[in-house]
Amino acid sequence: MKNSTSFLNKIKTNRATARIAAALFSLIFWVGVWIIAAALAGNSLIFPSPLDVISRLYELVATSDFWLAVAVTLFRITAGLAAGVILAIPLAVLTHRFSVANTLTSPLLTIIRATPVTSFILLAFFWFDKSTIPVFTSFLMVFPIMWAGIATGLESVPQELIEMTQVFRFPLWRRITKLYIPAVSSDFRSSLITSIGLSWKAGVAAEIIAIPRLSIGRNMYEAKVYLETPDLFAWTAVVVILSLIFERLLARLLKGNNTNRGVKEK
Amino acid sequence: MSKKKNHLSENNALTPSDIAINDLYIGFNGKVIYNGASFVFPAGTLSALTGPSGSGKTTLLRAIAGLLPYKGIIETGRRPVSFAFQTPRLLPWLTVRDNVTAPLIDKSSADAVKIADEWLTRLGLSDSLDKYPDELSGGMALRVSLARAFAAATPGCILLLDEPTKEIDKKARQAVTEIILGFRGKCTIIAATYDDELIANADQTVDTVLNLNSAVKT
Repeated sequence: MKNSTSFLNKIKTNRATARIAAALFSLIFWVGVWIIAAALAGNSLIFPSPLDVISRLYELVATSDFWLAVAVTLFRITAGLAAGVILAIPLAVLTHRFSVANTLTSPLLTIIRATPVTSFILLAFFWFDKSTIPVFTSFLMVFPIMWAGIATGLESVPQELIEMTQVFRFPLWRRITKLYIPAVSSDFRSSLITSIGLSWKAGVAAEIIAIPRLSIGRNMYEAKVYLETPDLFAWTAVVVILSLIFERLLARLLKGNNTNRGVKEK
Repeated sequence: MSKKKNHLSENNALTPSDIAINDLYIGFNGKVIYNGASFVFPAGTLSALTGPSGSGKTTLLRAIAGLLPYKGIIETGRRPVSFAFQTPRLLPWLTVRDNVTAPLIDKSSADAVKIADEWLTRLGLSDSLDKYPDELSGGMALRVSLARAFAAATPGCILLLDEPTKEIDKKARQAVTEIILGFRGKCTIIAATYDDELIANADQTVDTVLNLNSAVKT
């Protein structure tokens, strides 16, 4: 038993090492491609080298303005994401419960999904102040995805389990916590992870267009105006890193339970 | 039934009620299952529903549990229902113990665990309390489902059992039969079953055997 456990642990360790090696290889390969591309361009204004970007990033992180811009953008994206999630939950429940609500709201969902994000950003100029536009844009990206994800999760709750809770007269709160939340959590988690990437993309795009005072988007816009290409690359790297950290953190927060056991019946 | 004390003997708040079915009509997909049938299941008795597959045993249990639309009258005296379904219907994200405690809404958490452990032990599942449904065999999962139904069967309730001894080994089957018999007088029990231990010696075990041939359903 002990031998088989240590053998399994060894396999797991080997797999983890192989994964890290593969990731490192991939990173080295693409940094190599970047170095070659920068050398071919021969001008950091057109295509800066990794060294140019890293040294610029190093300078940026030493300033308080950098952290202030990051904090405010992070707040805006989080606010948009939270609003999207919070509003999607009751609406998904409502459309799942009442077909009339579903019929009424489906076209809205389709329109939001099909409309280019820039159209919403431009429209938002008429409705909100500059600093609220990125929040609204993030919200609009997150809302339909979360709504559809939660509604799909609710649809997939097995009828047999619903009947079981009815027969045993589970009170509403127990039905929610013991049946619906665990059953929906897998779809909720995957929709949320998809939403995070989109909310960052759309939120920063909105900042670049709306140019609110403190924002990553404003810094990117200024880098473009003043032809500071290494700055643009550095800020882009910041957005990518923040989005990934955010995504991993939330994925980890939402793990830690047994809901991933699925809804398969024995 | 063993003389071991359980929560049923500690609470006699409700007495069982007759289940009176009058002029029952159930049909779906163009097929009539019950066409004006009337039966009475006397209070506190054990009735066995027999008949071939598709004869309407499960349909009747589901109608009594309020899970099927029907025409006619099913009078249950508003007694709570506990149901051991034909398939386990366990919540996959809950442990065996938590699946059994889940319907025990009027018990404190400690009492619910005590009751669940007691029933699971009686059904030979004391080693599986913290396992998840996907770690159980089909027969074990069905025993968990039975434990849940027995644990939720409060005095006076209607205990519905859909093929309770199917897919269960002989030793466990005897234990299950003994437990079911122990509920006589405390609950009104209806068990859909094939020819097995429960009705093999009908004189000593079952109070009523209702063979669901076409004659009794019209």
